[in-house]
This record gives sequence, structure tokens and C-alpha cells, in this order.
Amino acid sequence: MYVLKYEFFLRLAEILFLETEPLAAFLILFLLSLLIARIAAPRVLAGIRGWIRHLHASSRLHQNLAALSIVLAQTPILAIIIFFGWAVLKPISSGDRARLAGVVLAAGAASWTVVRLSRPLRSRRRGGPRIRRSFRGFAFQAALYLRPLKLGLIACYIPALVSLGAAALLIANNNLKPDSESRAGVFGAVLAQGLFMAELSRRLMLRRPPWAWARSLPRSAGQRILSDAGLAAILAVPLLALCARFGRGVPLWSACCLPWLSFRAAGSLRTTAVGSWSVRARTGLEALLTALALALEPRASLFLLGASPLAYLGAAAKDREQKVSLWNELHQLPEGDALSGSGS
Amino acid sequence: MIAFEDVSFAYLAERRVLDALSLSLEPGLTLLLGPNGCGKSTILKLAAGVEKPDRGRVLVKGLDLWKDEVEARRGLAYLPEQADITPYATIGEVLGLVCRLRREPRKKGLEALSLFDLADEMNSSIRELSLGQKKRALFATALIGKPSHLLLDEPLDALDRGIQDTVLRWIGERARNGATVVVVSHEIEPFAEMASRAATVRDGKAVFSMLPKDRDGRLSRLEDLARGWA
Repeated sequence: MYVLKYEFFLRLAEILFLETEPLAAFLILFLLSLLIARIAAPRVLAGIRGWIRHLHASSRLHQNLAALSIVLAQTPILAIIIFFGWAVLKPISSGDRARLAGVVLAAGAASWTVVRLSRPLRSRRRGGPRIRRSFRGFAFQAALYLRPLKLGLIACYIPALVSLGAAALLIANNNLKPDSESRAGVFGAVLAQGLFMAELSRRLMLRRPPWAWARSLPRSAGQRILSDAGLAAILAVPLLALCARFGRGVPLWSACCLPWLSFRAAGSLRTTAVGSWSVRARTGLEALLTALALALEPRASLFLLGASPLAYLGAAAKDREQKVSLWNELHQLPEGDALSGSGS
Repeated sequence: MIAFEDVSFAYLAERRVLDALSLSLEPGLTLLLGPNGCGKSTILKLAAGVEKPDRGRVLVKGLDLWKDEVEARRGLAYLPEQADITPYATIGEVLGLVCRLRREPRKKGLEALSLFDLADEMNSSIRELSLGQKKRALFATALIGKPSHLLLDEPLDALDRGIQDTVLRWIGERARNGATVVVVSHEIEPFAEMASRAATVRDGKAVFSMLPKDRDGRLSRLEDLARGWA
């Protein structure tokens, strides 16, 4: 069973290392590294904001070490690229060695560029966006949900699209029976929704910390959960539309488990766990298990639909039990600003 | 009235902050004093419904804060020590939210903002405000709907003299008119005259103390409570 065959990667390596001019190949690798470094940079640079800057080390030294850290963070990807490069170039000449070294050089240059352009080193960033338009009622709730995400919302769809793409390739690259094709489609579609919810939860947990004061207002935990889960479900609707290509039943089965996944995701945000990985990993793993179960028996999604009120009650209970003051102690205060709205 | 019934609470399981605390906060001004970390602010957070007790229950006007969540909070106003407002909103949006939830017309929010010299900042994002302005914005929300229970954590911090006077006048007036006002403060003197009772927190329990009528006696008693000497 293949999602992407080995030959696919070898062909990519051939294009990059054999058929492209060295300078153009370097540029492609530089742009790829730039993208990866841009993702890694916020995590690496978070540690060199604030207090550490008063120590007597030059900002250039801070920047160079941060760039090195970002290159190290890319090591697994660089190793894979070099491996495939070596596979298509062998036997290796001295010119080929230079081409392979160019991979590391491109990563270094990209990391250094990202560090130079990153705002945290140039000036202390204040949390939260500029707000150009005010909203009321439910629109304000939606704004409170979307403003912390900004363009990050688009990134939430990436793992979901990868799952849908992988399911499409699995169906295209293998001779499957119609029933198996449909099950593969259900698996890809449900996993896509789950991964979307997991990434959304992770980003919201980091960028929209619990608003402790607002818990003193006359609004129940259940209302907060309904608002979060409702908005997450609305944002997941485009994924339902995309999975229609897997067959007529697939969007229906996926839609049935959407309330369950939305409530579970809203509940997963209500945690004081250190590190956002736990939220993404837990929600993602749950999505994987749900997708596997539904691939075996798609009608089980009706059971999940029926069990959604339980997920709602569980999420509301988690909201009530959450120690919001502790969350701020663990995530916001180490950042140096309790009200920054940008936790670690 | 706010009642704590056998309330225990810990931020981390191994370190209990409040232990089987039972107390009743009556109308009038109650001063909660004590050294750092003794649990004063935690009592306020539990009374405001920000944190849920691990055991026991908190009642506001006889309603359980975690069972009748909406009704119990209807007459509550809480001012945290740190001006905790989301940076993803404007002042106007936050005031609008409070007006909607307390079922008050939006113009009440505008009036409250004017009282705290923030009417011009209506459309400013919270991130653009200073700490003092954020605190004033939270005071403005406390005015909306005339809540009968005011929970104020270090209410005079980060405020300029003029606003401090406005706040003290407002607290005195609300306490005289029968509201339950609970103040946690390291500044004793401004509240000494208007306090009906005072307490300190020791070993997870609140210890109330009678306040003498004469000013010097009062101040000295409050000083003792602030040092944790019950």
C-alpha cells in the first residue's frame, strides 16, 4: 500500500540535483528552508526575548546562536534531502559534494535571514492585533475567536488538506474495491476534521489564553463551550465540501461526527497542561482513533452524533474545573507579560 | 451576601491554599488583609466565580455559583489585581458585552466610561491602553447595572490620585447603600474609616476581627491583620 511511492521522492531529487542548475537548486532549497525556518523561529526566538537581553552578550551573538538553533531544528528534513540527493548523484564527485553541502548552506542562510527579519529581536512586541472594526453580540464572540488566529487560521487547514490529499492519493495509486475506496475516504475525511480541530485548539490555546475576569460575568460554562464548538464546526464546513469527491456518503458520515469532534476540541482547550503539544497530540490521536473506527464501520458516526451531548457536558465540566489563574502563571508570566495574549 | 461553605482550594494538588473555609461576607465593606500568598486574592477569585472550589460551595444571594452560573453572577462585579482584559477587543466591545450580559442598555456603558475619563477611548484596542487605563475600564464595567456584590482586588493600584478619590467615593457610597463590598488591599488607611469588618487569612482559614471605633485603634488593629496577626 502506498500513499506516495519511493520513486516519487527519487524523481523529486533527480529534478532538484540533476536537472536543475546549481544556482536555481540552491534558490529552491533556500525558499524551502525559509518556510521551515519561519515555522521554527517563533519557538526558538521565544527564549531570547525579555530578561535575557539585559545580559552582556551582543545581540549579534544572540542572533547567530538563534540561527544555529533553527538550522539544528531542521536537521531531520535536511538529512532526508541529502539522503535522496546522495541516492541520485552517486557515485559522488567533488562537484556533487558541493551541491549536497549547498543544502546545509541554504538552510543556514534561510535561518539567518529569518532571525534578522524577526520582530522579537528588533523590538518588543505587544500582544494582540490592531482592531479596525468593532462588533457586538455573536459577531463579537466570533471576533474574539478569529482575531487571535489571524492568518494562522489558514495553517490550521494544512494538516487537514494533507490528510484529504493522502486519502485521494491512496485511492488513486491502488486498485481498491468501491467499498474500500469509500472507507478510505471516510478515514481521510474524519481524520482531516480531527487534525483541523487539533491544530485549531493548539493555536487558540497559545494565542487566546483563558480570560479569567470574563468568568465572573453572567455567562455559563456551557455557553462558552457552545460558542467555541459552534465556531469550530462552522470553520470545518469547507472540509466537508472537499470530501464530497470521495463519494456521496462520505460528507454525511463526516458531518455526523463533527459535533462530537467540535465539543471534544473545545474541551481540550480547557487545560492547564504545560506545552501545547499535549493538546494537539491528544486531540489528533483521538481523531486518528475515531477515523479508524469509522473507516471500519461508517455508521458508527450516528453513535457519535447521539453521544455529542455527553461531549458537550464533558467540555463544560472541563471549563468549570480549569484553573485559569494557574494557566496564566504557567504560560503567560514566563513570557514576561501576563496580558500579552501570546503564551509559550 | 456571599457564603463559603466548607471550601477547599489548591492551584497545585500538593499545595492547598484554602482548607475547609466557611465564612459569610455580609453587606457593607469587608477588608481582607494579610501577607503575600496567604490566599486573599484566591478568596476573591472563588467568590467571583473565576475559580471553582475543589470541595465545598460558594453561594451568592443563596445561589450556587457553579450550579446557577448565570443568575448567581448577575449581581457580581469583580476587579482583578492585574487588569485582565483580552487584547483582542476594544473597550467599547468589552463594555457592550457586559451591558448585554447584565441586561443594561449600551448607553450605561458609555456613561460609566465617561466617569472614568475613557469616553474618547471607546474604539481603542485594549493593547493600546496603559495599565491604569485598563484598570479604569474594568472599574467602568463594575458600574454597569449597579451590581450588589463588589469584589475588588487592590482597587487603588495603578490609578492616579483623582481617579483614586472617585473610586473611594464610589466604594463608600455602594457600601452605605447595602452592597456587599469585599476589598483586598495592602493600602489600609483609605479604607479604615469605611470598613465594617476585617479579616486575615491564616493556614487556609479566614480569621475575622472586631474593629475598634476610634481611628488609631482601628488602624493599629488593621496593621496587625495585614501582618497576619489575628
